[in-house]
Amino acid sequence: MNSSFLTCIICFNTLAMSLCLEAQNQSEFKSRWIFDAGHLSRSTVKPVKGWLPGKIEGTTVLGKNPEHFIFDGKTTIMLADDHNQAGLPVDNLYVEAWARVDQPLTYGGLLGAIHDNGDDESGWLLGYQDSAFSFALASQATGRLTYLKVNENFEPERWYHVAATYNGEVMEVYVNGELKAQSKEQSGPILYPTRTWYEIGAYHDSNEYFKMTGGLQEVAIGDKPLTASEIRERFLLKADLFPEPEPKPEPLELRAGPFATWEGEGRVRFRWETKDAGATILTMENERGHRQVYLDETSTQFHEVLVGDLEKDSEYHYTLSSKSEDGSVTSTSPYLFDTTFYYEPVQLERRLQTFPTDNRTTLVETFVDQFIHEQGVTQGYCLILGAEDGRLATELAYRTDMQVMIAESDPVKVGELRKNLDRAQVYGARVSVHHVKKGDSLPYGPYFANFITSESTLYHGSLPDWSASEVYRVLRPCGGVLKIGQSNSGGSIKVNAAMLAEWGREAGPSNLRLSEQKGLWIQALRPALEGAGEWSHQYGGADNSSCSQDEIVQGDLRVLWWGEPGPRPMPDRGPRNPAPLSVNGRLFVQGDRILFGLDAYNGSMLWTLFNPEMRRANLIRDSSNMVASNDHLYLAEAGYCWAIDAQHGTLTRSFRVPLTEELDREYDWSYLAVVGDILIGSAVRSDSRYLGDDGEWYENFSDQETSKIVSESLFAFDRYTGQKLWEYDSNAIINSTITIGDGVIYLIESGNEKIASQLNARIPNELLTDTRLVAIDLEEGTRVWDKPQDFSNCQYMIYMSYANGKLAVTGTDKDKNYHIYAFNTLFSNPESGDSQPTLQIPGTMLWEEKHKEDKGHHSGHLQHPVIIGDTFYSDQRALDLNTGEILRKDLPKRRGCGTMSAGLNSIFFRHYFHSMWDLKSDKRTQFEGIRPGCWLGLIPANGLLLAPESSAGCSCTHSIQTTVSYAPVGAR
Amino acid sequence: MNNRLFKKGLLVLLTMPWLVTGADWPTYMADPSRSGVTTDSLPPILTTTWTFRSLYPPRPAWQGEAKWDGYNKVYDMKARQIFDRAFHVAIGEDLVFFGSSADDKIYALEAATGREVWSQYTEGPVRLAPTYHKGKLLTGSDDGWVYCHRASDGELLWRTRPAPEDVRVPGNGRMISLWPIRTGVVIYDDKAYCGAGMFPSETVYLASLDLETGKVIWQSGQTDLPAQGYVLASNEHLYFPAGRNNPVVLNRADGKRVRVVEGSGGTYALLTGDFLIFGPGKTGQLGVVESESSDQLASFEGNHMIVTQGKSYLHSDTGLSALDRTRYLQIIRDRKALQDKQGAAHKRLNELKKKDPTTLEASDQTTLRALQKVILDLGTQIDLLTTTLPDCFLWKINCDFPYSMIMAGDHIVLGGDHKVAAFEARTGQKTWEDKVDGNAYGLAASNGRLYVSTDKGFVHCFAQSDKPVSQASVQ
Repeated sequence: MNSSFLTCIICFNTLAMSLCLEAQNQSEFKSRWIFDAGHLSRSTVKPVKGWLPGKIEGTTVLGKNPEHFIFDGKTTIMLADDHNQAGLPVDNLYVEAWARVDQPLTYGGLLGAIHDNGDDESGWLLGYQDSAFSFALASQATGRLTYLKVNENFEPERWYHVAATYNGEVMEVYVNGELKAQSKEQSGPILYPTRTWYEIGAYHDSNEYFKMTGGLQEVAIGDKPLTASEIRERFLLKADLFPEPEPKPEPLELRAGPFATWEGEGRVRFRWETKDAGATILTMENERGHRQVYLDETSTQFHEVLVGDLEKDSEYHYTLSSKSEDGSVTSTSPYLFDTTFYYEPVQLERRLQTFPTDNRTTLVETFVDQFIHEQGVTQGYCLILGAEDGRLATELAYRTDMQVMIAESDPVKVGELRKNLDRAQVYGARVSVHHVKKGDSLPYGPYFANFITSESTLYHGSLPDWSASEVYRVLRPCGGVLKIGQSNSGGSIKVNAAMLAEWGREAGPSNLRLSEQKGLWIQALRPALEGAGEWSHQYGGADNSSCSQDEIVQGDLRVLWWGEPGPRPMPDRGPRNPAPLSVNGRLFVQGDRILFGLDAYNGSMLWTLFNPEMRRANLIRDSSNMVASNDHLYLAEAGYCWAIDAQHGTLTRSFRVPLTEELDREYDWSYLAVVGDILIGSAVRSDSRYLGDDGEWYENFSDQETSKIVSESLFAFDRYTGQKLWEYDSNAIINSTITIGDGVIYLIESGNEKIASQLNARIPNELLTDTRLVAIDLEEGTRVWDKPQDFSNCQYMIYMSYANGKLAVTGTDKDKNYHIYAFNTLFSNPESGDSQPTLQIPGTMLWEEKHKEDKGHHSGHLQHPVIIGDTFYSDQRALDLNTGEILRKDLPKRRGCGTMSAGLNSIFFRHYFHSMWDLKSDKRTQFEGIRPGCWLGLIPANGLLLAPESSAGCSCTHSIQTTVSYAPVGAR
Repeated sequence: MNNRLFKKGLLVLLTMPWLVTGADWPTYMADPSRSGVTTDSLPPILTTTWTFRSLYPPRPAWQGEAKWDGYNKVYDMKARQIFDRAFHVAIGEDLVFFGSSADDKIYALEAATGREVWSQYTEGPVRLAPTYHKGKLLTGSDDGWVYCHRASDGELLWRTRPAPEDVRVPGNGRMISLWPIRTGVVIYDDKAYCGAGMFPSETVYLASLDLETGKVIWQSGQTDLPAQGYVLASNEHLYFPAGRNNPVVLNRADGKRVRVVEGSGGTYALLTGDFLIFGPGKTGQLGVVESESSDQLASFEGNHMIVTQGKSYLHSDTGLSALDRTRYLQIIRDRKALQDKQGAAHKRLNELKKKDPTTLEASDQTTLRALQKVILDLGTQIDLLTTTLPDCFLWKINCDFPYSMIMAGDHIVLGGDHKVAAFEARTGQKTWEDKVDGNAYGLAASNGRLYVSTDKGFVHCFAQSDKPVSQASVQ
């Protein structure tokens, strides 16, 4: 017998024994689950033995080598929400798992049904405590749990076979086949609670729910204890399947980014900055595990990679790495990139020569050239009033990203145009032809057209078939361009100047004007709507009044447009996310680590910007990470504030937190405001922000939810030159109170020195003592005045708003009583009956109001106030800002979470759905079928009510989830 | 769920009033009940005979649901308002009809060859399949109009706008009507039915149209729900899916609302007898509702269902199964009764436990122990019944064809990721599989041909062919 033959026999015998043992042991188990592809579906785990399937509550991710279920710290596998349904062992118990714990927990579970609430202890659990495996069990004899903990730590990310037995007398824990702990504290039948969860991958009872981060390959339970030798055999049976953990690279320290922007479908540019210089490495992995590595050996702190050929509607995980000169590699954790979020219009390729090359070719090409060069409008909607052959529409579709509409009154032409455009492969995809009767009003809603022109006029000089005032109605405010006429490059000008002027005059004396530049034209550049407000900061303006000062939005509203973003890219609705912003005809929406820039008047997606580190939640206790101006959106991310071009989404300038270089500590840019040319920021200790990534609602009273974010300095930059203007150092500025009005920054700061020793800048109420109300000059950064003031009743939250020389501080105490304090900010002589009126110095408290919250549910105790003129709206009440007199207590019912916003004539809120209170008519309107999120999601700005989708994750049956805009009926 | 409903359910679920037996597939999923069933068999081996390729892929109105419900910890939620991922087809007069959300046109192709017979323009995306009826083809468009073309040559016979105004606004990235037609058109008793509108605040118009003239017979405005998803019709009622919400039931005769059914929402729906089955709910559940009630009788895990006499075929992301429906529902009913008893015992037990232990009398202690025993015993019985549930499945197979399902003759056809396959209904055995371009979201079968519509804008025709694959008809 040769040796290889002997080896074969041994192998065969070993295999046979293993199979035999497997079969034998399987018969001993009551239930057994193996987490491989054969037993896993999207939402369930089928048992190998027993009948009880596991319901996956979370995300199903299957690891490899060997196949196993990956627990991400949010996912568990529920076997029964009532353990009584599971028929669990009573007298004897054997439970085992092949487990890998990546992040230890104080109380972690692999498999169990446990209840531990004060003296009420029962059930059992195979799990871990901190870094040691443990087995907890309560018998009917003791009524108490014994937590039998192994006296040596496991190594995170290493696979272990963990087994536990109970035979009615002894509890034992085995790790990798060896007995590691034993106890005789329990005896007799197991004591079960009345009802608890029977669950894999969690420690779960009525008041605790700790979920595992790691992996499970197998879990089994039986009602007959295995012997030590059997357990060792169980270990040996699979021990060789599990590899040693891979050595992990050191974490890569990022200074900024990564930012990702589309450069066409499937092409994305990534940019990031590292703390130290090194090579650039980006690894992309698709859903099927296919990896692609992009490498540039050049040592740099500023990294950039263009990735191509990404698949449509797919999720990629990408990792950033860097290699230093000594060869050591550092890497980030994987980030997610979702190619679903591509919203560009259909991209056209010139395939066919549809139109002959003739005079019209030059005419049209020159016109489009000039238009693009002079106006720079390339996105949104174009309206062509009358067309002859469709060349102008085709050229505009090819040369810009606009959707082009042709309104044509001649039905014969309509048919011919459609055929021409179909041949040009643009019909429907980018160009539409609408048959609109001459003399009729145009069938379009107001404001949608970024560009209005006429092919018929360009060719023949004929005037449009619709009145100029009607045409002007559909021209977009804030820069919509109308240009109708004839070019002198196309031969003789046939359009009659007098008639053209006459046509244009009808739209108003100053709206449309004649121009003879390179031809004869009537043209317009529509300005912003008169009376339109803007929503540039979280609560309207830097004054935190939650009022946009918009005069237009009132009365009956009609849907103006709807579209993306929908719920898919948005954060869950609950965690009090940053509000959308709208300035200068644009709308900015913050998704889940993705920013959107939209045209506020037609919903066209102008740009998207991905940044996986961009996230802020619980704005009740913090400030937003973005503000908008006429030309830029400003975004705080890590230690920087980025100026993002409002129209194109490009990063044009960065501002760095001034403290970063000076102290031995990393700081993030926290508060943000823009007033004129000044950009105001604050510095907060890194990693202090709330992320809200675990479905938090931040509704309850606990330090985890109500701790306030505080900044250690405030500073200002010139936002155009980048020059630092001033810096104001503080012990602890409460971010949610920073307010700017009439050239002064107001804030509340705490002088408690204990705050400095806290690990991060989330500061609980008990430390926010020694508070002062402070006024700082906006231009100079110098303290104007300050005043000690007790705000200890503002426990759930503390807000500060400014209007008309008054400050209002709003908070609620732990019993949900509102406390509102109003202060004067200027020297004044209040009118009084006294012959010698008292001079009030700034910071004088004008009035104070206290009441139990009226709403009584869904954030009723967290409402941010609204100030319109001299009226202060808070909770269910309206008060005179000057005197504190209660004007009314009948503010609209507001069922559901969220807080109010306002223009000068209307207040907006959630009452089940999008809702509105018209202040003049007192009419209260619900827009059924669609709801906002759990904080501020409805903004009146630019003469519109803008409602970006913010209800994401609502598994309720609200029938529509979309971004929508409303305009007053009859808007022009 | 009460016993009366169950018994009625068992009876009615056995019936199958609609069964396409001819060579046509005149509307989305074959008939007004959207059963997805035809008696027409398919040849055992199918080959691609022609392929239509749109220059641009379909542009669905909506993207998917949010990635999770953080507050309730619900993951992998299903899209509840998407109905237009592919160009779904209708078949009549040996012509294949479909509308396009990519180029706003309605197409008629020769069924045998894929040759374009005619096409007509609309002024907005056509998101749902047309309906063929007695020589006419009715199509709804996002431009707010219902078009009636002569099926044979595409001549426009009439068009009707159910909404009172012609108002166009940017919607889902296109300039469309404020009241787009997003229900398709269903025809029953020579009358057409459709819905126009999205936003309840603008009023959503549900209408019955005269098939000859297009004149509105009745119109019903609703101000609480949209109309999105293929409308269904029965002898008495109309069922309008309402996007993420639950379908609205109307009297077919006069358009009066009967009720809004209960459930977890979605635009997929089918009628079987007087039962409405719809979904996919939050995470892939099909609810069963009796037409006379708004209550949900039962729910099944899955994306689609085919109902035949005595059997249901359930289709999920990862599997296909055949269910002995009668037996299954009986067990569910019995188990529910036991669970109700167990719940009552739990409640009583908890009340006793809330008492101060020192004040418990001996009789209370006895009751407490007895209740614990009852709960355990009932748990055992529940377990026992639960263990028998799998026996109701006549067969189950794992398969990766999650996107669509129809039944043709004695075969189930499923659409998957770049593939399509047929399974023997009796055994679940796969008998045929082939590749397609894109995800197969649309299936139709007629006259021995299988039509597969994908999210990349392809319509593949499969049939028995003695010849090699003919040239693809590419637009």
